[in-house]
Amino acid sequence: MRPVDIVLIAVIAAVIVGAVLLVVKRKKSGSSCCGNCEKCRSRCSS
Amino acid sequence: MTLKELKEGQSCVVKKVGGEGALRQHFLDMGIIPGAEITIVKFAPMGDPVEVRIHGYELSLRLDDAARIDVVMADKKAEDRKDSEQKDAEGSGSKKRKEKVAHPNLGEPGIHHDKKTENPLPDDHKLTFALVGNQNSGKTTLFNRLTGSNQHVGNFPGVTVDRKDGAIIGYPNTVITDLPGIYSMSPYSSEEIVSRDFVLDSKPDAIINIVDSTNIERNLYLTMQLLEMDRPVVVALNMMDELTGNGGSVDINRMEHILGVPVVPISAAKNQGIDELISHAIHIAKYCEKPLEQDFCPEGSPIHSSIHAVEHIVDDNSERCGLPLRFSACKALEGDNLILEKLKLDDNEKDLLEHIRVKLDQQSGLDPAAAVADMRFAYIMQLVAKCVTKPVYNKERARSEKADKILTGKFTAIPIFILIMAAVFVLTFNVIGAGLQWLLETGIEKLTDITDKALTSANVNEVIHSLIIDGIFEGVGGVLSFLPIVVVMFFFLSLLEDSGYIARIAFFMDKLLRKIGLSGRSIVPLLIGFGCTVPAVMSTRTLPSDRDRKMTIILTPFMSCTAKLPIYAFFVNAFFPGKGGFIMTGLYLLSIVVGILVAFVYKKVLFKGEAAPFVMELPNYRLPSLRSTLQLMWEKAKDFLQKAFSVILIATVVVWFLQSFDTRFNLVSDSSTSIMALISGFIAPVMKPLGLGDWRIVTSLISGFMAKESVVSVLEVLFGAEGGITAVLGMLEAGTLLIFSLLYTPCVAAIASVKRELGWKWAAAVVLWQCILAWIVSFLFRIIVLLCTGGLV
Repeated sequence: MRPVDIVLIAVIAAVIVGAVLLVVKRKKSGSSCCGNCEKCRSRCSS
Repeated sequence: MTLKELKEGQSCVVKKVGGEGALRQHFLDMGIIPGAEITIVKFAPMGDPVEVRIHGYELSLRLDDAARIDVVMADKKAEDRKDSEQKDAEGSGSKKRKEKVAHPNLGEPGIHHDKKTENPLPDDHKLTFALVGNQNSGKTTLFNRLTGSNQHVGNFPGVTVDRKDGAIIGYPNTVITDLPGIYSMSPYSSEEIVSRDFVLDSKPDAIINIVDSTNIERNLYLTMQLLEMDRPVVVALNMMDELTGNGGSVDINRMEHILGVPVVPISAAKNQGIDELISHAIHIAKYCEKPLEQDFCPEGSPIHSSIHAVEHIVDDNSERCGLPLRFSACKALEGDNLILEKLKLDDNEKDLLEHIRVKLDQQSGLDPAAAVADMRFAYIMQLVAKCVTKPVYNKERARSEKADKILTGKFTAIPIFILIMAAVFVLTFNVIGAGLQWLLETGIEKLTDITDKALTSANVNEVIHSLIIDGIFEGVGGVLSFLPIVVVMFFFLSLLEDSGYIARIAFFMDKLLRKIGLSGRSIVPLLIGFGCTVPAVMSTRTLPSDRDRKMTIILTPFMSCTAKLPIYAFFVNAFFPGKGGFIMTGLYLLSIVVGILVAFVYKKVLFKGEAAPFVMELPNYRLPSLRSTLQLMWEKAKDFLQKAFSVILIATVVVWFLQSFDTRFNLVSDSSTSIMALISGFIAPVMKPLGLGDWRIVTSLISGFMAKESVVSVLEVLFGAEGGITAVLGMLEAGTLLIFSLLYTPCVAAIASVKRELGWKWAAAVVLWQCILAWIVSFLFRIIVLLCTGGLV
């Protein structure tokens, strides 16, 4: 495997890891307290 | 006679308010109390609902609900007499106003509280604030000013459906919560329950009560109830620029003196008075300065003795369950079941309470709920007469009335609505959006070409080359080019909402929507659904009835969202070039028709009964704020880009991997032997009757569950250029696939929001039901076309 391939693999891996982290971040921010459902109401008031 | 029998322009006085439960309480809270004067402003184009003027603001309600309100025609002479008396009262008010009231200094740092006995909260205590006010009073605009955040604002009652937290700028040790707009502390809609529970359970250190000074009577009704919560309150009189601009004014010192809490005039939109509001809010929270006045009932009156008698009864109970005494007493008297359950009165106490309620009814001639509302409005009227000079001419109101003559006119409302929506679609899909899309597409193609050449010249490994060009660039690039269309669509939706037009659509579409079992207010989530299902589902929280909410939520995915546009555009370019407008319009119309038919089925089977009463305020038209519109466009663009570089990128790479390797992880030369072909092969037979049995089509549809845009990226990865797909599918199959994509399961984000609102069972049912329905409709389409053309297509 040539150095250019290794560099590209590293870059692609970094991009994919970044994308996964972004998905996790979006999921976390999306699951913030809605304050409306029973689960959130009990969580928010506690 | 009832309110329903009145004609346009006629005035009456409320004699009795009928109805029952939450709706009746809502009528009372909105100011429809015995003795209140109502004028019929206009009827909706289809004759129902009706817009009325009460306490100086406009309210719309259905004729069925108007029939529950007994009225007597306003006596012209008595009316004139009342007017002159009111003028006299205002005159004496002006005389009184001439006697200046010294500034009470409430909430002023270092003045109001007693230095010797003060007991401030420790410096490291995080001060918590609740931002409470009527719908459309400018809460979110103020929240953005206070916290520097960028929450979306609109000119429609109920834009905020979620509570949002933030720290006040310059005070990191504070948390302010923007609550959904409410009219009273009585639980009518689910958002009112959220706001009331937050104030009662979380016990914020202070309440910032935002009051629309151009509609002060109705807004102060909530203030009265907030003062009863026994928490520090600061009143922010918003839109003072509009009031003073029309020649009105408020004697702030006198109002502060009467209410017993700090009153700060502000203009959230123009960023005026915000610093003063912050300093007062921080001060009252830190020093726990509670309202000086809570007793608004005239001494010696039946309501006065009743409230104080109930206070004695519920004293222990309210202390035990942590509820403010005055609030508990008023709610117990009104018969608020949620509060009565919390108070856990014993049989003896219940008997005593009932006895007081009956006695109040006999003495005042009003039932307890009406008597409490009457007491509050009577106090507000006196307060307003003493402190407020109302503008003789309201520019904004006059402008709105002029615009409404056309926009909600009997013969013009529906044609103009159709024209406006058609213009939005044409501009989005053919003119602005399409032009910008072409520019972006060309740029992406050039970039792909340059990268491809660079990789070839660098002699990069074949697999890595394929992953970058066929996987990432084809997939993500294909989706990115649709960014302009999505942003332009949201731009127009934002303009309609900010201007106040969407509230009018709800007004004149109510009668039509009621035929399919929905209320006019449901039009808002349904229209937002054309942008994105996620906010549309969330916005259903403004609907007061559980039945309407559920029905609207499961109908929203039928409105074709902007994420499906790339699919339509891809197939139109490949199979129906030059017929984009026709195909797109047809698809949107089909989604609406299917939605209506499904609604009929829901009405007959799942949600029997009538839609919730339509009681809604019509806001004045306003020029949409450029800042708010650009902000929303930026938020949507950011969201789209994040999605393209996260979910879609991962999906694209996974699909590329699955279609490039076989089960032994060897690179395949023919993708029909790949892992993906094997997986999709299991589902392909189900799609065969639709002519969509190709494993690549099935794969793209599966990926659409992650994000609708992925359908296109996966098709581009699997088929290469557009020529690839035209070799596999005919025009009939392309049409069938378009219909299937239009109707099948919403994306995972939309399902998650349905799950959040209705639970797993409903979310799973939506996925399953929409897939079955999409299959049936697509199959019918295919059969009909085959029969009509004799199988020639």
